[in-house]
Amino acid sequence: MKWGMVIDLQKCTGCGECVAACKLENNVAIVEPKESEMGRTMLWMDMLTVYEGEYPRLRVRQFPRPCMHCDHPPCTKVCPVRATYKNEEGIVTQIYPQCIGCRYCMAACPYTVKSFNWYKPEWAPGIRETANPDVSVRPVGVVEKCTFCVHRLQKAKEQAKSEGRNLRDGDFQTACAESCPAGAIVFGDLENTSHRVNPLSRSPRATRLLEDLGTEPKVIYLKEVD
Amino acid sequence: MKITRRNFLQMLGITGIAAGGISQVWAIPDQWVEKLEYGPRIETWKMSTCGQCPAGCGIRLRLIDGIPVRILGNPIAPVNSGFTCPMGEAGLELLYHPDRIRQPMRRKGKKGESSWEPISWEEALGPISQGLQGLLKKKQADRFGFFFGDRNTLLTHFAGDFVTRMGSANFFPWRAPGINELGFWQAFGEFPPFAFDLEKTDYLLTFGTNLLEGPPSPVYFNRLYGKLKESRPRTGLKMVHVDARMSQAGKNATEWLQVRPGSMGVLALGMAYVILRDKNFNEEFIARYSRDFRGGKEDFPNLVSRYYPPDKVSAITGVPPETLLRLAREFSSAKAPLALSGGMSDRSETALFTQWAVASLNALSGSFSAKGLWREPVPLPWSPSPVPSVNIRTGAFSLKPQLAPESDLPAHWASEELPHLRSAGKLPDLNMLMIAQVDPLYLPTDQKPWQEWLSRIPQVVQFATLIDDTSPYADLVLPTTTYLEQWDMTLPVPNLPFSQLGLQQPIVSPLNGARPIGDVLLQLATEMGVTLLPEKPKSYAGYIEARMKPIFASGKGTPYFEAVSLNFLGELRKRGWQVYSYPAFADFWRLLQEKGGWWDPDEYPEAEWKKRKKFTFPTVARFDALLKERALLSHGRETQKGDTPLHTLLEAPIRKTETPDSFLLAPFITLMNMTGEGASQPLLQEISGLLPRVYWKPWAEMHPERAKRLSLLDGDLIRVVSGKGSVTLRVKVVPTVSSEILAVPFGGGHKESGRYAKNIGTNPVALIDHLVDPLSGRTSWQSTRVRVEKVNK
Repeated sequence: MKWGMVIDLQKCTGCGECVAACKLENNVAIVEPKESEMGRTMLWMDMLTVYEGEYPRLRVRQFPRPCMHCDHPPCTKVCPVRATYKNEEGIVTQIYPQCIGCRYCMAACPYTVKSFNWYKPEWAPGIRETANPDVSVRPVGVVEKCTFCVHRLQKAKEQAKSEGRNLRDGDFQTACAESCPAGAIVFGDLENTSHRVNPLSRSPRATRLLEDLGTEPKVIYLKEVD
Repeated sequence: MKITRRNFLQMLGITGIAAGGISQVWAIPDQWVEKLEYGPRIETWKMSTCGQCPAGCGIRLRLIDGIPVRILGNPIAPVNSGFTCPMGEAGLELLYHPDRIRQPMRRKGKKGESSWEPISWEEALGPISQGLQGLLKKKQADRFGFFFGDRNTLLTHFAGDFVTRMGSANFFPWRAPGINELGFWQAFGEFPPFAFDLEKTDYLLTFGTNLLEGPPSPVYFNRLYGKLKESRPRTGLKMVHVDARMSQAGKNATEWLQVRPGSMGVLALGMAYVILRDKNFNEEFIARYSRDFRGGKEDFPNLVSRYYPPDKVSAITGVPPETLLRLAREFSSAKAPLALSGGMSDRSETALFTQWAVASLNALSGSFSAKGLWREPVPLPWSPSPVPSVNIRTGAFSLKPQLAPESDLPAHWASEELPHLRSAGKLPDLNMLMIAQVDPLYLPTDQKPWQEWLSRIPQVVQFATLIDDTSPYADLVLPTTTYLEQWDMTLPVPNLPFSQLGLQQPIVSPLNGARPIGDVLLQLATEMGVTLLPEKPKSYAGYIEARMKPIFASGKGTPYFEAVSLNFLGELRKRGWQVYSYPAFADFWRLLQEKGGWWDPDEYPEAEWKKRKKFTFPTVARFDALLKERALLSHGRETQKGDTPLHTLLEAPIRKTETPDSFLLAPFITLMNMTGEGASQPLLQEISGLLPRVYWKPWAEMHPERAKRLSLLDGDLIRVVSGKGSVTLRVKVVPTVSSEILAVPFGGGHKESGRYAKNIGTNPVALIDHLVDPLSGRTSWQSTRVRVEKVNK
């Protein structure tokens, strides 16, 4: 089992719904303006923009950027306390109580997907109650990042077990994949041929970010063709 | 800090979010606190309809022990199929907003000062009801007015009905016009405009129409764009976006065409020139269903050939003649070409001119004859609701069974102009004005006349969830519910090719003593002895229920349904079957609540031109006559000058930038904030600058060439100065704007609207000159010239 994601850039419209859904699903702190000024905004899912050519031939490529959940993750290798590691299903996870906040992993990640909790996350009274009760908030001084909504995997597994069957395609979906109006994000088991991501990941349009680094990302982009 | 078990667990980061910190919470009722801490954690789901914008997306709320914790899309709602936009997701931040007003408030100081004393509902409603009764007794009902933000729900009809039954005609709705609305009203006398089916076109030309970031329905169109983009390498669909700024519509198109702001109509007529010269136009439609195409000297070809040859069009628009030629030929040779105008094109001094020109382009090309492209909205089985209108000559507002094409404009086109109509003596002096669901002191480009007008009205009553920029000019602020605490029904979305009614139902009972607007109006009407409906409903919910009865009786449509293909449904219906069985109205009503709404899976039928009024092409004489007829809207601006044809005076503001530091200001809207509605919610404030990677702050987009000439780098601070004021912004150097404009996001710079909006960002309106399209009354956002100065940090 190897969880992975395929993002079809030919479908993506860059609306940013995946970013909003991710922030709300995972209780990612809303960083206040003063802190944000110092570059402390936290986005597990980000939207990157690349400009190609010049007007009238200008093309703008936008692509959502979650954690790549690399098969050879550079971040886990530098963690002195094993607070980040790749689990047996390929998800690169963070153990918050174990993290000492050295930020080596942030420096090592070539995709800059990790954020540091510079202060205790604070919500205004009431706003906090809008948070998702399935995901813990992170304390000050630890690093956090996209988890492929791993809390949903637990639920999906329990559900499948109670029904006495194996996980099916679609049982476990990340918040971004579930919310994408254009249907550009597909999530599933890359090794399972019955999952949609499997054939998609072998499409001739498939490409990975910074492939030459040998990190073997499990987030696969399908290139735009026009 | 005392270490308790819970604190300890929280420090370890392994407890649920609901633990800790609850005692400070006052935005939620006290009884919830205990539930959040010790409840059995039972998950339930409730269906409703989003109220953040007028798109009517179905939503599904996740509740833990009856407390809403998340908003997701309703998978069986036809308009959004289970998806939402960031605004839709953030709705709970509105419900739980810590600054929500808890009880009615009476102004303490002078108008314009934000100081309040809380009073009881009885103390608040007493004077309103007395004031209204006084007016009725003195037979001065026309001194009562209602300024109402139209969210495309039944509440607008209800409020309009309330005003009419009080004996007044002064109902002033406020909303952005639909796509093609201005042009189709002028050309066809058709209101609301025809719907269109994007899937049927093979050449989409959008004149400033950004379907992806604003009304009518961003989720529907993002979904559709995803589908069209995926298939276009196979189908050859071409999508061309015409605007001075690329926006999301341009980024997702196959081509972006830069054009000077306000000159899109000129471009459309320039294309018409080429199509006419090539004789490649749709003769059948023109001969049978149009007029003024061949009328001797003063016809449409004459207008186009005399004033819009390619070289002249190129000089005005900035589009090279060869591009114009190519575009015109591609468009007229397509099988089902579709030109849309709306969004930015109706925020200019040439709004109606542009939309009329674009409509003519559709008439010339094969668009109106293409199969299934244009659809005619089918009216719901209701007695028709009166349409708010404004008389062009007298400036009088009224609610009419239908608009008269010769003398009326839809009222919402001109509602930003109310203070001017008042000072021109066209509106009576009001004794009482109610304001709901709109913030008129944030949006209009002429805030001073608004302040003066509201200051002169003795009783201004505002319905609001948060104190906003208008509140300081209100005498009473009544706390109202959000869309998650009230009943309502969203109406079919304009421009979409099918009919849908989304049910809004209270997910929780009103928090903090807020009351739904509908119920307050109903109570006032009862006190006044006025009957709003024959059914005499006891509550606004009863009104909604009563309105659904004719739908049930008609047997048309069905509550939203799951997992049945439309083909299968068609087969079922042929045999007289339904997906659901609802023998009695009570069953139907229960299903509506369970599923979230009603829709008619039969798409609208193709528009039938022979049943409609003939399409009127623009001509010189017609422009002249219109400008004279609508002199009221032109603010005394010169619309006649020697023998210059009057319509060309409309183009006069479209000039080329003259000095190196001079730009044309071009405000734009983002999906996260629209026209300021998202500003009160922290998530949306944070990510409204997601694409340029600017968080919580406004920015100004500038072309790299211009930035280089001004020695500006990305991230530098600039002062933007107009004749009206100046603001400081951070410059974003991007190739997605034309070199003549400075693009600034709309939606920031609120003076109030809660802690997440107050004094955050800037409001570009502070820079914009108040200029109005003399043909439609729409205020222009794109006619102000600004100067840019570098600010040393």
